[in-house]
Amino acid sequence: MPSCLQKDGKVSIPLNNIKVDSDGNELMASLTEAILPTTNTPGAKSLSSHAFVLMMVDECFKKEEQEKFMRGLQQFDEVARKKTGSGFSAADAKQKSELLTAIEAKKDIPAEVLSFYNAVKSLAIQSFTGSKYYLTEVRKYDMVPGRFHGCFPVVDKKM
Amino acid sequence: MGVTNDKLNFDAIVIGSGLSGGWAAKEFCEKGFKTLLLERGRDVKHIKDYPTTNMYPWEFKHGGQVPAKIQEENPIVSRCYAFREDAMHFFVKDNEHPYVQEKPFDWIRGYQVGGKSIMWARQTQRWSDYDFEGPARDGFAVDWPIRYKDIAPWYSYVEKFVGISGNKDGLDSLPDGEFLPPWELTCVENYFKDFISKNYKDRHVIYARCAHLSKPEPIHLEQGRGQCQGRVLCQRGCPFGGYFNANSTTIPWAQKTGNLTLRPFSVVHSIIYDEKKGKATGVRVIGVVLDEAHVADRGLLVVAQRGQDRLGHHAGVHGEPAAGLEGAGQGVDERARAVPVHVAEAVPETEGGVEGRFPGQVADVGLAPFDSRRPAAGRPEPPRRRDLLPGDVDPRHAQAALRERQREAAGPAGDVQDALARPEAQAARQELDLVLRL
Repeated sequence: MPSCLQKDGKVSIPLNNIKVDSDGNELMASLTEAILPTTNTPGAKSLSSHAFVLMMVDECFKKEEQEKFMRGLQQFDEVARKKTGSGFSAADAKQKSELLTAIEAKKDIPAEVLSFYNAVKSLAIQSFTGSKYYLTEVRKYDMVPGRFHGCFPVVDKKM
Repeated sequence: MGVTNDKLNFDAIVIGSGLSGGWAAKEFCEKGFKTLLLERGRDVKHIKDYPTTNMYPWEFKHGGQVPAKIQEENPIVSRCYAFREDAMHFFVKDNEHPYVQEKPFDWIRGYQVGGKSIMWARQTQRWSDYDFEGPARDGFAVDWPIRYKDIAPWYSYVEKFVGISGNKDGLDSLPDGEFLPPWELTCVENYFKDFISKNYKDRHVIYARCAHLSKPEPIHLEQGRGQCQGRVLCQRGCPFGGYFNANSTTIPWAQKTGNLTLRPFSVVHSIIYDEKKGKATGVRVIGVVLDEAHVADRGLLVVAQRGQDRLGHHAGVHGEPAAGLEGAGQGVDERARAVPVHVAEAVPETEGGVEGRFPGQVADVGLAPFDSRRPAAGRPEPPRRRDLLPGDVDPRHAQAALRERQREAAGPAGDVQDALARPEAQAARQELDLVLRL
């Protein structure tokens, strides 16, 4: 564990298997908010996506996956410090966007940073598409009746 | 009543309250027999005891996923597709149910009233004479004592009561039954179906028959059940009774007659055998107290437990202690082997069938495409078992023979090849072979 992850500080959710300090928690909050920004619709911050991501890693990942995730978190932090000077949480929107674009493009990015980023991204999206907000306001989930359409026209949104 | 060691007398005793036991109880009760239905687990009352049935996707802490700790502690039950956050309370955990696996066997069970009928896959294909004649034709196991024509009226009898959705496809390999309307296939499935029928005369893609009330008949309404709402949340228990389980259908039907005594938390210790009479006369039950229940002289005893059938064991027939009760000798006395005990076995669901799966069908906790909510059972099925017709060869047997030949040809170095060719290593390969044989 690097010194930056050893500082004291409380995390907003109880974790039993992984150890995340307040810096790590803040990093997770700013990373998920960068992936799912709050606009005129709720984003990661208002949905507490980072807490969902950490809870899922803590309770649903196997031990090896948790260790890999934590190594990725540490390496992501290091990469972010190198590229932004300040670290991810303190970076401005442009720097954050550049870093995430580079990660998405897989340019010079360590493998464990990529897998960490992909895990955070997919869980953050899950926290959004599985939220009450999304399932009542965006794509309404009807308990009954369920719908089944065997054929559906595919619309090209680019047209 | 506060009476503990009372001798309880019945016309019929049924052990196990799942698919088979519920049916046996219904039949006995309808015919006026005072029937005792014994269940080792807790009671699950239709609707009332389906705690997750109306929960929304966002109400599940882990989005439907089973936490890693539970999965690690339960490797066997975790292999069941329905063992998810929304229904895991209905499944027996591995450590509650240890058993010997001579060959790999995932024994997925539910210890409760209704048994596994709550979480079954609802697939209800009829067997044909290809199945019933198979052992005699291909020279394995024991010839079935019946043929399709003997059981066909009983299929109809059950199907009418249960409610089966399906198409009349006119295939001799999967005989038609008493069907309620089917769900439609997707365009991709229809394309595949047409492609197969253009290229193969003996292969068919059909909408699989399943135990859903696509359009209830009066008999189903009389049971208190309603139309399947396509929620795709069946494994939680259905408040509409949209699919068939014992809890919504056979058990309440039996209860309505006034002839049923349902006793949960009652593990059958043994079947009481009367040496003089030369027959089984009752059961010894471990419940809150040890009880004995007896059948009348001309009474019937039905063991409706699904044993390790594919391993050749019937948990209820062999004298071995059953799981979870080591040393307690649950199961039938050794002596009872020669006793007129009726063993009702649940028929394995689409055993050996080659099934097609399409990405359009994604159930999850209902998070998936909301316009694809067709009851999971509605998948198209190429009704063709690997060894159904005369001249068919099960690829597993063919592979074993091939391995043997390769080993002989390769000499001593063949051992390494043999290791690579073991079932585990072959699993992925075999999947491919199956796909190719569609």
